[in-house]
Amino acid sequence: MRSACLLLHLFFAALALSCDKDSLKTDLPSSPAEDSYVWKLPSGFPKPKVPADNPMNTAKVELGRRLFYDRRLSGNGTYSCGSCHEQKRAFTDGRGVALGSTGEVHPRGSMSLANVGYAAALTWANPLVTTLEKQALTPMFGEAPVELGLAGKEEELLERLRREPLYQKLFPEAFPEVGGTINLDTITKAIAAFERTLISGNSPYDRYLAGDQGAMSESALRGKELFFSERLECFHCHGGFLLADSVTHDGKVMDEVMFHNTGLYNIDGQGGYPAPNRGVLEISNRPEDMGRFKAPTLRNIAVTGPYMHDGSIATLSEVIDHYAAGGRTIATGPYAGDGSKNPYKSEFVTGFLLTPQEKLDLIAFLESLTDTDFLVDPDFSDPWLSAP
Amino acid sequence: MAFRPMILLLVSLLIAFLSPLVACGEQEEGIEVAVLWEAPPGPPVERNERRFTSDLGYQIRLTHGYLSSQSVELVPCTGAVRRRSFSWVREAQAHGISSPTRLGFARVDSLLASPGSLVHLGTLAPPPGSYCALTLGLRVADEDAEGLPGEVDMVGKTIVVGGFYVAPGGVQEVAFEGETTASAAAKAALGPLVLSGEGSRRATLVLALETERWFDGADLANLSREQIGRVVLQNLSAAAKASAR
Ligand code: HEC
Ligand code: HEC
Repeated sequence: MRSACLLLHLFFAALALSCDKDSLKTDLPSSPAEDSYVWKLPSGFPKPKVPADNPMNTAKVELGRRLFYDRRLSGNGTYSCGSCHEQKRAFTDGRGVALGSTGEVHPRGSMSLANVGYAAALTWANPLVTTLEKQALTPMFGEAPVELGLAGKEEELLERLRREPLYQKLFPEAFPEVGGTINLDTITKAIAAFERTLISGNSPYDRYLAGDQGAMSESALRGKELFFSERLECFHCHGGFLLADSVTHDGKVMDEVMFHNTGLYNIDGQGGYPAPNRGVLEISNRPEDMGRFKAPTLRNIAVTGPYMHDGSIATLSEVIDHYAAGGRTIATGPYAGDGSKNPYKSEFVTGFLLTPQEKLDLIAFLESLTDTDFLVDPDFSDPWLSAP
Repeated sequence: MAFRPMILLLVSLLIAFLSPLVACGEQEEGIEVAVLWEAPPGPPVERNERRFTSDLGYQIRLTHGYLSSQSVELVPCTGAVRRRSFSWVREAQAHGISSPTRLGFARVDSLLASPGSLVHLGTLAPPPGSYCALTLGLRVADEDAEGLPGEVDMVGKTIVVGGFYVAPGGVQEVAFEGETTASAAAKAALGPLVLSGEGSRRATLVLALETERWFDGADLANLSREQIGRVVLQNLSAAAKASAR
């Protein structure tokens, strides 16, 4: 146990060293705009990773925020990113599965964008989408399903945006190096820069960790012990400062991207999940990737229901039932099957016994992860609602 | 295999030298805890079986039973452990990892063990303080768990029980099996146990899984194998009792 402590010390020493390195970075060539950007980081949060070709600056973040909430970003002018990613729901939409601008149903549910700048892989089950710049193209131009419905309307979109006086001012400020060109590259870069600022770390749990002993109820504290216990195993997949896995940040060299099968389905007795939601298998075609999804952040989880990739669990109480049973059993219908017998299920989902009080405690802990400031922070709200 | 029989867990707290680890906890020099298992005095084990009469009126002969355990932990009276500073690293308790208040191991023990033997599980070094419970962590057995039986496959299971019952009002013996992969925690209240730098520097704790109520609430004739496993595991968890010696 002493060596574990030593390791811990070494770890923090290394952290301290890497901080020093950051402060030395000023002599490296970088755009002046980047240096001017001031991150609002909660205590214990590292700096997000920022791609070298998309440095942060204040104008870019403001531009990205405008674009994120701009309905002109949809083919029929009815939708913006914000339509499916609402701030008050920690940037989810309250639906089981998302609904596109043309009424097309998405096979999966919208995901929280809180702290999305730290995600090493984006969306529910795609190891190949690793940058926000690239991800933004999917809702804009994707046709299966249609989200914003811009496929084939690229020039139309650019024309619309070029006519907006505010953009004529903001693009040059945000992208001086390309003379403020309005194109897909700068649009997605600006949106990504805004998304990187969506940092949420002021929940009662954070305040408790920072030393405010009264920030969490006794029940939530007992729930915290359960969450981090070997009996429940939650922390194995929902760990670290985001209570998520596949997390990266500035200075991190190796990104570990992981996906897990939690035994949500077993429709054929051989581990089957319903298509097209078979997890990473949809991309990799490897049988062992059946049902493997990203373990999403549990920050703000109380406001992001319904739950799981397809919204198939309505409440946190039922999510806990699913894990306690070691997988979900569906008794009837096309998806009937005993998920606890799914052969691809993670070894960390074996089920557990939980008293009714313990269950309430665990829910109280999950509720203590809600950062209410984040849900109303004016920096993240729809700027088109107030006069520009 | 030398240490098969153990339904009683004996925790012996020995005070010995430990160098101060200032930033890693509040422990002081010289507190050390040895952990031992002891088999139960018990209701007698006859012909390698245990007999029960449940609250529902079932007559039960348990002819085989195994339990997989992976940790034992002293729980401070302050409820949640107060962490001194912010650390996401320290929150998690990885498998097999031991800490000053927790021992990690991997063992499978027979529920039919005859009384008498003692097993030394390892050593704890708790910081001074008041401890209100002792928790035994019950989790699926790994392939390298100590004491895996030949009789049944315990790998990937937390508990396996099997034998025969006579239903209430019935005469015929019916075979039953129960097993589950669910994790559980058997929590036994302590006096509390007060450990200080001076004074009481040595204590022994005995944790017993009392044997009377293992099948209570189990309507064996109408439960699946998994349900039987869960009910018995629940009853075993609730049967933990600890006392200081
Ligand atoms: C029709 C509703 C809808 C719209 C509009 C939409 N999204 Fe999404 N968003 C989703 C869904 C559904 C997912 C999960 C996608 C998947 O798993 O395939 C998602 C996932 C994401 C993710 C991944 C989050 C994570 O944690 O991995 C990001 C980032 C994102 N959206 C950003 C955007 C941006 C930027 C826009 C606007 C350009 C946008 N979304 C528009 C529904 C929508
Ligand atoms: C083996 C890794 C793993 C473990 C252990 C685990 N989870 Fe999850 N969790 C996931 C994955 C993967 C998903 C998404 C699964 C899906 O959609 O099919 C998820 C989804 C969730 C969701 C829904 C998230 C959302 O945005 O819809 C909640 C809530 C949750 N887990 C809570 C818990 C709790 C509480 C525990 C402990 C009892 C736990 N998890 C243990 C991997 C895990």
